[in-house]
Amino acid sequence: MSRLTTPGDTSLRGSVEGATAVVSSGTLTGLWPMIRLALRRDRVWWPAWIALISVQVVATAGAFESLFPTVQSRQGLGPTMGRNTSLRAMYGPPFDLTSAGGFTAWRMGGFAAVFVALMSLLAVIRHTRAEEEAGRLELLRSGVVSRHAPLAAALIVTIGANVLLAVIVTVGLISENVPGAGAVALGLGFLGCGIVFAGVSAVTAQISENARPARGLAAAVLGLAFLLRAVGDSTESATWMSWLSPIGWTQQTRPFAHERWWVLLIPLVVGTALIVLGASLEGRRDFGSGLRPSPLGPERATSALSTAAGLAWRLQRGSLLAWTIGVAIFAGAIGSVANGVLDIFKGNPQLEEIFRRIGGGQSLIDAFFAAVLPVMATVATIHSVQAMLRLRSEETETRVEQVLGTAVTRTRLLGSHLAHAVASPPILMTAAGLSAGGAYAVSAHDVSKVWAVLGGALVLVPAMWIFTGLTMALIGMAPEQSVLAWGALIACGVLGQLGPILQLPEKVLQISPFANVPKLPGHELELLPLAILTLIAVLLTALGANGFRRRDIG
Amino acid sequence: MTAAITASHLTKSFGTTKALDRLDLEVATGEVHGFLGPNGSGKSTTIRILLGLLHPDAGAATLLGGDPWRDAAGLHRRLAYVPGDVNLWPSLSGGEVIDLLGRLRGGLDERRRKSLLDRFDLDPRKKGRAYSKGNRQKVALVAALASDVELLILDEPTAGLDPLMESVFRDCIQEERPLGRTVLLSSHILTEVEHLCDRVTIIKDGHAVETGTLKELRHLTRTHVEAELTGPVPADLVTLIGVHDAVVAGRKLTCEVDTAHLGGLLGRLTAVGVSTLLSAPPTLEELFLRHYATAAAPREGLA
Repeated sequence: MSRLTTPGDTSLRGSVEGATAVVSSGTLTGLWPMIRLALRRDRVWWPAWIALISVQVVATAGAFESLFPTVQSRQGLGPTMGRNTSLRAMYGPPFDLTSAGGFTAWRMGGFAAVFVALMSLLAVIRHTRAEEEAGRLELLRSGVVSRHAPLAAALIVTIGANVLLAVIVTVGLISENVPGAGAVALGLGFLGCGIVFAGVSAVTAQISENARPARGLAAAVLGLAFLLRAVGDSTESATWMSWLSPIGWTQQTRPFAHERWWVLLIPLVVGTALIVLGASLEGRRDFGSGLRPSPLGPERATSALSTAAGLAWRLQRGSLLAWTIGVAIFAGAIGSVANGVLDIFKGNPQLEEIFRRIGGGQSLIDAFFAAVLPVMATVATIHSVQAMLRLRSEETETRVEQVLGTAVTRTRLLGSHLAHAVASPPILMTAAGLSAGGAYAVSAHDVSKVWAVLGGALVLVPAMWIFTGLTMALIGMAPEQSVLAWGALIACGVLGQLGPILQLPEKVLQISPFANVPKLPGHELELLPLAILTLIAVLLTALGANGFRRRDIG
Repeated sequence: MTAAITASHLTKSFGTTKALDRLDLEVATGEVHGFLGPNGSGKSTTIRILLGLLHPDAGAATLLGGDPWRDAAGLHRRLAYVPGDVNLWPSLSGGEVIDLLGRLRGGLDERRRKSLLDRFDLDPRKKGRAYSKGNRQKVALVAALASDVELLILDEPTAGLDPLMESVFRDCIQEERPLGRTVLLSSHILTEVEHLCDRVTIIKDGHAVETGTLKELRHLTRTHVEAELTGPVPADLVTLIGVHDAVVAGRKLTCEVDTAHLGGLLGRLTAVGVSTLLSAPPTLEELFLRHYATAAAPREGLA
């Protein structure tokens, strides 16, 4: 014993050093199994994201030829876009719009970068803080998995997926016969944006104890990045702001317009710094806790929280508010660029023709709104489906049994969530219609369209209810298959977008409920199709409600 | 009305797995009834049928004199339920959940709410997502115990509680007795059941294998006997009715005897002359293990 306490005892020091060595070499123990777990869990997730992003980018390059077949039509693009500040704010600064590559870099460079960022930040949170909060990571960490292994695995998988995406985008673009250097620059630009946001979420995952705020904070950084770029790109005196934005960096690489390769170093350095920061913050906190303790709630419930309806309102109100604001902003942006977009179309008969085919309107501006409003409706339907699926997630997370264990009937319970799902389409489409029509009125000095656009937005509501009803029907009759509601919505969304361009027969197009409403503004308001759609939605809902009242819960 | 809960021949399958197989259960009004069984034996399924969440494939159940499926909401005014796995709403504080669940049942006893929060040492201001498993359970327990109801249905309510809180829970249940409340307590913790329950039902593979008071059940079990005699052990002792697993080593006898036949064996032993005697009464644990273990499992491991 005395030998052990002797200061400077070499054998002791040796053993301590040995132990330290074991610990430090072990900080990434379990990395490989964690990577394999992440890949196994996400074998649908990654291909879906990568396909969604790369197809859009490559398809834009492919469509350029048919959209702008003549040199004249291409040369007309630059000046119109360059002048229009709304378009610059939406998409970014155009560097060269006369080539398919340059057009793609402008139209998709910033837009797809947002999706790349979203994909990366969601993936990292999903495999780190979300798992930690759910308690599953504890199970793994108690095995041979060290402190930093889960974060490292999440980052490796996420960055790996970004590399794969960059390769696919590059190869896809080259196959569309655009210059190779530009294709590589755009691919690497996306990769850089992905690395930065993987790093952002590696940091935000450490701050809060819960995944939701971690995700929210990372998404807020993304929102700020978009805003900085939008202001910088559209304001002469503030171009420096674009240089503060990771999305701006993707664009400032200037793919297909004398590439500036050195810009790619910025996201690489910033991303690496963020990852190092995230890892060091992770080393400073306890497992399961955050750097910031989660805030406390009220001690007593307000009188509003006394019924099933009160509970549903409490659970749904935040998302309804966020969606209303989001849809209004999105619609406002579309409404404000409407005028500029029309400038592009003028003198481009092919584009005009396509828009008339989708929108079917008489005047071009009517056709434009008749074409974009169903897109907004499709996106806004996500909220209605989500609100309805809340009933199902409450069930799978076993909270429903506590509520049904009280004097709440099944009808009241389902009604409390159904009310939100049914109210969502008219609320969101009113916001969309007023915002789009209002923004157009301001930018084009033409108030005559406000009510027509609002009407065009509201006629889509019965089509949206079809998805609400379908979701309820699935929850009631095939609860395990509830996610099919998403499949139906995505299928109809894609059909609505690609169908007219691919010139699919009318019969096929009309599978989508959105194709069955009168194309407003610009056409007669027909009530019969709206009544039929509403009736189908009611029937689906009734079937689902009936099933939910009769089936086993849980 | 003497039975708060009756279930006869309840049968329920999920796909190909049979969760309940002709289960019988009777809980008398005012008693604390223990509901024991290994994991996956069908305790939670039974409770979910009693709550009207599941519909049985066959068999019938009554709850507080009503049909648990048809009259669910009305009956639930008169009972409180604590699930085995309490999931709270992440954005609601514990205090809000307690108030909400209480109000959904038709009201809370304010005084009890306050005293239960103190006794369970629960901070009601924390958000649902911030509670540990034990604290989530406390939230559901406070909501249930503070409700003015006739029947408490508790599914493994102490699984996540520390020993201190477990004893608070026991005190709370003991306090329910004079109020005339009925309690159905599904549990794994045998000392808890021994402390609290008037009667127990043991369920295995979806079937009730034993039911009765602990005294009655003990009677059905075997007592472990180790005796050293003053003379040689008579050979026929080993084959005596009720004696099992006898091992004779010279003057020493080790065996298990059906508690009903203990007297007979002791009479024979004293006739020979006993120098030392060790008799271990069956514990609930033994009783439990005997039913938990599959029929093929060797008895030696259980002595």
